[in-house]
Amino acid sequence: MTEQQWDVIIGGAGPGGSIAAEYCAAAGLRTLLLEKDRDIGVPVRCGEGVPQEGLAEFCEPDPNWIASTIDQVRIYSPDENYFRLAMPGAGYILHRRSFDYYLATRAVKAGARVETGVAVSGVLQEAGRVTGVELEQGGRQSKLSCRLLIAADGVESRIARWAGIHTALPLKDLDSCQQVTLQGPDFNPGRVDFYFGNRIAPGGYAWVFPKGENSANVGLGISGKASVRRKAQAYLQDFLEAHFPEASILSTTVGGIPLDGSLKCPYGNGIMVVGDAAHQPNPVTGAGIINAMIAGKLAAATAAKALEQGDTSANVLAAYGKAWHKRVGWEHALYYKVRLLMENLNDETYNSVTGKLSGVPEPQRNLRKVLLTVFRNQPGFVLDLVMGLFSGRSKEA
Amino acid sequence: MIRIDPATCDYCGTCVGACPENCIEMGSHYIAIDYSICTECGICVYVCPLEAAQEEAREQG
Ligand SMILES: Cc1cc2nc3c(=O)[nH]c(=O)nc-3n(C[C@H](O)[C@H](O)[C@H](O)COP(=O)(O)OP(=O)(O)OC[C@H]3O[C@@H](n4cnc5c(N)ncnc54)[C@H](O)[C@@H]3O)c2cc1C
Ligand code: SF4
Ligand code: SF4
Repeated sequence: MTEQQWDVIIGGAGPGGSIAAEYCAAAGLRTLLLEKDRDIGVPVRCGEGVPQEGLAEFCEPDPNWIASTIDQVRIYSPDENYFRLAMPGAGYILHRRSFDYYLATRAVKAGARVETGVAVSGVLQEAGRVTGVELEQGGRQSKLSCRLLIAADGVESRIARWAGIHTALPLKDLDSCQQVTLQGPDFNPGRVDFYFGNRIAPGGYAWVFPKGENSANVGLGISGKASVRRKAQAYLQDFLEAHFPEASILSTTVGGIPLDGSLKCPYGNGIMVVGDAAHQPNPVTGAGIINAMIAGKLAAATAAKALEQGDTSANVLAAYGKAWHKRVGWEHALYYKVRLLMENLNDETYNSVTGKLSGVPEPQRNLRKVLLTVFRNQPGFVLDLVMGLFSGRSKEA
Repeated sequence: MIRIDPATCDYCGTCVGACPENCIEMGSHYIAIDYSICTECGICVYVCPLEAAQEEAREQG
């Protein structure tokens, strides 16, 4: 890598980092995007579901990275009853390998430089302001300076912490997950299934996200608190034995999702933090792809302004924090409360809500009905779940 | 003493993000705890989706 003065260095080429790089480069900033892995998009630690509207802000769906188009949702209670919601145009299941690659390609086309196999291993600071990064590439250390740093390094984030921003994930607000990609059984390629219940996934849920007709991402997340007693791996093993005993497992992955709703202060002097590194997934659903992309775009807009003014102090970068809060953060604060309520729901409540909803004739089964039934039983979770993943796209069935 | 078994670990980084001391270093295929900082709080053991991070009894003698 040639030593030159970069306007912006971005650490981590997930959706958040690649979108930040694209928009920074498009704004004329000399932009360097660094990814520690040798291959962008691999490994995939994700269910790969995105809402249609969220994606549309950034790109047209492309068959190269769309695995399934979703128009139905089934929600199962612990007693294996379910209710169905028709949601035309709800969303997609991606091939994230190809999707992340595509986003990085777009960053390059916009003028950014992308380097893989290069990890940010430290942050350079002068007088309390970030001035560059330390790098590690194949065992060799080096340093690069930049005017602004964007940390987009996912759930494993350390970059922001080196710059003095407190990002340690609290145990109570963290989802511990395992997922497999199954091959073999018949799946409805247009339908996603969610399973709730304390025996299935305490403090979280299990999901079946189809990738075509014979393949699906099947996984679950449990709360960090529950993970103290029993691991996500053990819960998923039970779930697979109960539902897909014959299926072949083509890949297994684990991961964590921050569910505290967003960092209060995702910026500092000379640094902004986006995506999972800034705890920006939806606290109920754990969906973070589109949120990371939105944050990347907002951070890039603030970067362009700050560099034009020649002032990258936290005071100026606070505009990014405000923009995030106005666009998404405020809603996450509400979802966070919903999640706390959900944690206290017992299996009987889940069963009774689902039972009542299955009694409603399907044509009358719509989100309003779900809402009423849930609220009559317990403060709501189902609507928030569905709305969070496939925001605002419901049509009456 | 906390140990992470490299053969079980999937390098997902959940423990890295959760470690209150920021003392877990992870690359694509390695993971290491800086024992000079680790307080043995156990958070990494709790959050791991697998059983890769484990609390081990100190070696005798
Ligand atoms: C099991 C599971 C299922 C999920 N399902 C969904 C879903 O269905 N829908 C959804 O929207 N979200 C889902 N999520 C969440 C989603 O995966 C994340 O929110 C999303 O990937 C966040 O994007 P990001 O760009 O912030 O970070 P990431 O995609 O995690 O990218 C961060 C990148 O930074 C790199 N990196 C890390 N450290 C460094 C460093 N020091 N230097 C350089 N590079 C570094 C990493 O290698 C990685 O490539 C799921 C998560 C899990 C764990
Ligand atoms: S025991 Fe605590 S301090 Fe030590 S590595 Fe694990 S999380 Fe970090
Ligand atoms: S949480 Fe477990 S699997 Fe993930 S990196 Fe840490 S020890 Fe490895």
